Amino acid sequence: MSKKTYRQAINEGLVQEMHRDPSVILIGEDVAGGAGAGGDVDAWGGPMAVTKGLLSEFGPKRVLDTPISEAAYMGLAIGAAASGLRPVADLMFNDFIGVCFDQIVNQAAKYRYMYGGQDRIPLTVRTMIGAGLGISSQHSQCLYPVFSYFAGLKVVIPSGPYDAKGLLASAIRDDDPVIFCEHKMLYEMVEEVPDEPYAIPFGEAKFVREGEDVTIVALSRMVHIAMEAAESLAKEGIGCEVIDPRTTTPLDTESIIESVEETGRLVIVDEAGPRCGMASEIAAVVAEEAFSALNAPIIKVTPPYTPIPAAPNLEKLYIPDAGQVITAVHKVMGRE
Amino acid sequence: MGDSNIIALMMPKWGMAMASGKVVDWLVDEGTQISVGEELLEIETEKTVNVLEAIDTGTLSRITAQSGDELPVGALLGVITQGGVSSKSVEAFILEFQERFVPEEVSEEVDTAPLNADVDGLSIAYRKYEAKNDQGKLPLLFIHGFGGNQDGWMYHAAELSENRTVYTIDLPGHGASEKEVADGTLPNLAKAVYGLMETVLEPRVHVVGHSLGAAVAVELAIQFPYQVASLTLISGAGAGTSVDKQYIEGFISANRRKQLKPYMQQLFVNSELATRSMVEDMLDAKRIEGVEECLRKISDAAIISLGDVDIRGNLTRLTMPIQIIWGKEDRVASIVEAKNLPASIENIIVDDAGHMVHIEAARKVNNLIAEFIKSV
Repeated sequence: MSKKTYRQAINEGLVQEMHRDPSVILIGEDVAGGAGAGGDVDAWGGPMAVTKGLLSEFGPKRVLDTPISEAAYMGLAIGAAASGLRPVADLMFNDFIGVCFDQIVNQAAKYRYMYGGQDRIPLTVRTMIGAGLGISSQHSQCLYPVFSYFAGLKVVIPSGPYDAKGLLASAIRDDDPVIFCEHKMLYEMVEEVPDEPYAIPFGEAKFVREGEDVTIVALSRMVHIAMEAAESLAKEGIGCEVIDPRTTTPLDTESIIESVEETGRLVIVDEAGPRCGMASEIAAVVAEEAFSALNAPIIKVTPPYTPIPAAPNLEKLYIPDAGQVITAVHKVMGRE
Repeated sequence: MGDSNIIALMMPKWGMAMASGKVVDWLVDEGTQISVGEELLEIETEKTVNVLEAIDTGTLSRITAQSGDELPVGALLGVITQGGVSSKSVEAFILEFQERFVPEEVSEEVDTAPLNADVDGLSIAYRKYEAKNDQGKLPLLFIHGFGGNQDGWMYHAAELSENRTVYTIDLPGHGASEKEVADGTLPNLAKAVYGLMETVLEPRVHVVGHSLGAAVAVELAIQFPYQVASLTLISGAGAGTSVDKQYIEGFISANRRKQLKPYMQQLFVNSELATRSMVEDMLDAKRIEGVEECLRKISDAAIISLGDVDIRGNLTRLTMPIQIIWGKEDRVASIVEAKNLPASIENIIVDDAGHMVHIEAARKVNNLIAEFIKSV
């Protein structure tokens, strides 16, 4: 056990899975980092240096740098998965999925179903989500609700280093396509992470904080925003239960309902847009299955319905903050 | 004022990582006459819920912390008075306490990380609690039970390190020790404990073992009788108990909260003591690669057989003082023949406690250990 960043935890997870299973390979733009660019081989390891050191350790046959064509390398990865390998494809920014949507959504996601379960696509797509770096609306979205729409894909949204390493192991070992969403503002986050490999099962939410008054379901980076709000609300005597679903497919609705049945109040904090998102989905599930437990309307805390601004001052306004969560909690508590 | 006295009742510190606790419920009313050992209130920590017992006699004059209050360690919970004390003096005492009170900073990084030692090529984790006032007494070593780790001694290790050094260990395959148990037999586990004593701890210690740890302690004492000054066996498997084999199998294979929770609850009389975060911590520990395999090996080699094997024969061969502490309502290693133990053995059965009697009745067990060792 030692302190590791989100970046180190994911890197360590990749290294350990590649040692464990020789059929695990990496495919993507810049994953080898600098190879063939005239600089040092293995210098970068992707734009966030997450795959740094892997080329030296596993060689070019298992760490494949590709041209800038998501359609081409995603097709390659899915084909490799269909023919016996266990690829991890690096889709740098999740916003780029538009370019390889057909490969992922119409091929990978449907393959097992269409072939009657006789064949599987053990593919992991690692991809970056989230705003906060001021890199504009085509590099800052949270598209996990889009991925979660498609039956046949599993979707993972780790909110910290410990979960990232354990969920990545499960993603790579899973026989179905998994979209693994790394929030770009979390790479520097530090946490105790076991040195040994470990796998966290999908569909098991984490109770980050226990409380009796309000259930706050928060996704990805918003877990930390919710915790900030919860700590502040505790000083007012309001006990918030903060739940991190960890995976949106499968979604642990059971834990969410269990909590709402105890608290009677629900606030959902999501960095994805307000429409057709996980916040709406979770609100719908709770309204359907635990309506009688609710003492107040469900409140969603999300960004506004707009593209993500690149200007830092506007981007800051766009991302939900602890103040908004506190206001929402006050509202469900009837303390406006 | 004469014999009158005002005593502050404060939030206790159970375990090094504890920074605050939550008042669950007071078990006595304001104005009640209380005596030493009386249960005053329930406190919930990040790890579990426990009862704070009185260490003074007097009147509980004031309750200053209400149910639901989350307070830092050392914060005022109430005021105990002895003799005639005016309510004015009590008010003044409370005001002064609150004014002066500064919560202690908890530095998790330094305090909670265990040390590691190389024992015959195996990395074994342990902690050392230096004696607060060293009197050259033999140290005390705690050995946890199956699937547990040394954090389970949070109520005991620091508290019993008043006059002597206390060590806690993670058995092989557990906690921060290497996930390697060879064939998983008791002699092998005992060898690792002895190896740690020989390399970094001290050659002769008092040993306290819980459950599987108790069986390991007995094995250690059989192999190295001089090294074990005394034995305290808590919920000791094999000494006339019947181990629930279904429990062991269920505990090993559970990898989700829902599956594990009933097994954690089975450890206690009051199943609410198995909190969500306790279940979560156990799942985190069990997830580490190699742990399940280690647990299975130990279970096959050392535990399942213990359900049938009787170690009472072994106990009669030992000459050091031995005490056995049982929870009367143990639902994991239930007492079947506690009575037929050798007469030289102190045999204590604690009411309203289960397999985790040392957690459920922490102060009582601490007192039993302290008194017993003192008498050796």
